[in-house]
Amino acid sequence: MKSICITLLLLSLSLIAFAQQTYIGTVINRQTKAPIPYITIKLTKEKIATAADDKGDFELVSTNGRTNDTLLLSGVGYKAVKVPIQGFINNTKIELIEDAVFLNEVRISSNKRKLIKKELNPFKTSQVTLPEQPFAMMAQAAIKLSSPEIFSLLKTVKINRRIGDYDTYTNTEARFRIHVFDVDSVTGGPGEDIVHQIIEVYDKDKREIEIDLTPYNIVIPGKDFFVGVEWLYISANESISGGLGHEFHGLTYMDYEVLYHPIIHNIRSDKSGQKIHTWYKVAPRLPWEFLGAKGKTFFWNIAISAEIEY
Amino acid sequence: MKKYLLFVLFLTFHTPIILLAQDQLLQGEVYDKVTHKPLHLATIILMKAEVACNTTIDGVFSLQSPKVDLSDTLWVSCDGYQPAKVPINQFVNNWVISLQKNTLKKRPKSQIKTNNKVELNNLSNERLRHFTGIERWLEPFNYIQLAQKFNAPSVNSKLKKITVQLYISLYQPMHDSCMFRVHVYDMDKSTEGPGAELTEEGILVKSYARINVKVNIPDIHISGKNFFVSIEWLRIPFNRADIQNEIYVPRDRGSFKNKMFKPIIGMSNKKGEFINTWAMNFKHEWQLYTYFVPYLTDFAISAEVEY
Repeated sequence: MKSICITLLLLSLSLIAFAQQTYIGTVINRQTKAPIPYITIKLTKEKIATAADDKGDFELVSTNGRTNDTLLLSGVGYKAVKVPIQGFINNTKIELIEDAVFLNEVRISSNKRKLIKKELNPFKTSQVTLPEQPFAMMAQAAIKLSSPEIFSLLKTVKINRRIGDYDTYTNTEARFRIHVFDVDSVTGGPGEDIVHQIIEVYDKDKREIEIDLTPYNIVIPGKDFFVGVEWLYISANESISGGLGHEFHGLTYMDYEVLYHPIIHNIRSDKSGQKIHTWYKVAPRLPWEFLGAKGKTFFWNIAISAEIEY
Repeated sequence: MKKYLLFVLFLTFHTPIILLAQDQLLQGEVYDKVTHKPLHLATIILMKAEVACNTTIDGVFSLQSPKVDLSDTLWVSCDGYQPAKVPINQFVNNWVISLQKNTLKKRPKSQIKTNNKVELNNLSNERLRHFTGIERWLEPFNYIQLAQKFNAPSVNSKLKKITVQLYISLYQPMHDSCMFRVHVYDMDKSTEGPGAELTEEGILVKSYARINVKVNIPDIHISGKNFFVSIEWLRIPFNRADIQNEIYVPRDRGSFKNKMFKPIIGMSNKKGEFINTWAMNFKHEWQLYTYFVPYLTDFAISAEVEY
């Protein structure tokens, strides 16, 4: 009886675990079975990383004792591999598949090629619709655009937004930020910010905002890239709308709503969900989410278009 | 038996305790101590919980608060009366609070002769696009009064007229009437904020769906150059409206609907050099109102001064 009692007492004490876990392994090429040197091994949630040595051996020490973390192995010329740590067995060999990278030849000629301008994701004003969830209130949203060539120059970005309905929106001023991202190789969503400056836009009362990005000289490294908008929840962007009143105990109360500009329009997409390219973030520290992901019932893109030159 | 007891003990220590918080209702009446007449529009503030309300025409109030701390204090004040503080642990429902009338002397009317007239912080004819007096996503509106600082061109002037610009929905204007009080203050030299009150009582203003509201005031003598005009929010059913904001809450996106009280006053579109806006919080302390900095600095309150 006493022993049960003690066991229960011991059990009820909260355990503070200082678990230290070491991950040891070797990275090899799947086809040649030869070890691959200098591959980066990263624990994605704990945010620690190490590199394999010249024989492909690595050792990574985790200190926080998470059980739901993932090991990410990546390196130049190989496809990235994700291994959940529950499934990881020490002293095993991890195979990576070659991902050929061919660099284009650079041709230098005396004749200057004529530059071509192209508008990506063009839309008509008649196509835009009222912004719906989740664009009503979020931290960031971005649309994936595809250029026909690599190293194209981003010239302008156009945004279509909603202002001045009847008299419901009092303020029309919008202050927001523009971001240009490359494609994250793991998620397929927005990755690193290409521009290392803050592009802040101020617009007084235009429905279609055109932003000239030529002073920033943004060259897109790949073919695909993202153009995104970051909302600023500040007093200058606030607008108020007074809707229908509602009755309560014989009195009519007004309903008000505070909205933050820019209220960006949507462009309807077909219901197959094939043509959805929009990603969004509901809070600054949360990961990007895909609008066309399974289980979501959104069939539109955010009304952002871009002009490139190549 | 012993085993059973141990099991019960084990369960009690390991079950998370879920407290279902419910809004508490404090109800009572405010009376004049001598005449026993009910006091209309007395302000009742629960200091720590930061909730407030005003009495109805029968002197009755009902204050709804999500949390009631037993160490909290109820601050009861009414224009022309000495304020009272009641510890909440002494409070029983349908409490009767009586206030003692102030024995303030009436201020003498200004005798100065004036020649010139000027309108300070002139409101342009254009409708103002910014607004305040409403609860925001990131800033709750927990103020009793908001005040605008004015700088008269000379000392010893007379305040003649006050105009306030309100936000009115042109879509449903008939439901957008409201009631508020206007106060005029001297400048406190140490804080440079509002100091002594120049109006004997707050001026009650009723607005029926009007954008520009002219306030009828008795002639007020301003001795210094600076003075303040403030608006007091009255938390009564007549002023009630609802505010709906979409917010992000972890795991779930939702919207909240809150009670709010009119008026919604405009903010001037012009950006001045100095911050001229002050706010009185629920502790009756004046502080600079910096929510619109650095974009805007003035409330849409204008004052006509003769000097």
